[in-house]
Amino acid sequence: MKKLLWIKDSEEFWQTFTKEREKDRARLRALPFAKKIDIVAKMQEEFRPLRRKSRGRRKPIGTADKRG
Amino acid sequence: MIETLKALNRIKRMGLVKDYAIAGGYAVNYYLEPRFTYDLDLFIVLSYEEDFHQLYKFFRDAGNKIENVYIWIEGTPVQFFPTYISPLFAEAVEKARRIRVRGVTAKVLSVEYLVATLLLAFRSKDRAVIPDLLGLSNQNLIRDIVKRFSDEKTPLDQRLGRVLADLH
Repeated sequence: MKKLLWIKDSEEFWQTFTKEREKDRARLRALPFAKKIDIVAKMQEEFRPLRRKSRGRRKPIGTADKRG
Repeated sequence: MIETLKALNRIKRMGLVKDYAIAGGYAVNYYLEPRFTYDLDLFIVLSYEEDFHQLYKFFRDAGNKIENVYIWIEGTPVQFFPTYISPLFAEAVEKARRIRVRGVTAKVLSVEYLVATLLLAFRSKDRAVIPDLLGLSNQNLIRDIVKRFSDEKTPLDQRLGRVLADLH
């Protein structure tokens, strides 16, 4: 991603950005499920204090948006 | 989460549930890059409909925290969806993939059934991941599932059509 810092051309910037992002997504996608679970657990740890402040009710499954 | 799966395998051995499969956000994470999910959604096969009450009673008696629709099992909020509420869920568990996570066996919805269940829920977060999952799936199989489980109230075929139209 470092090379993004040196690109001045907008089109080249977004092309490189998209390419790098897709590379990163592919790397994460290929992780073993156990490793993905660890990553999600870390996200949940960060989220829990926020959730304690605002507790909303979850929509039941099958409750589609208005477009049906 | 691994401890949660171990606990679920214990209740399966006890006969409280006949079978189960991971659905929802964790199933999406199995196939795609990890993204935040709050709870563990599970489709569960029960011998009798009344067993759903027994399951809640079992966890309540065992001292598990029950909050809103969630039962906290080994630190994870779990939401159970009994398969008797939907023939799609029942078939999804039957056809689920067997996996092993850190030595613990479990089942996760196949990508095709996962897409079908996301088309059923069809919230914005579900719609956001369907295109990536479609890229990993057998689209003929999805079309077959969607065709069989579409009805007026949940037009899965129309929803799939809309997602595919947005891709082009």
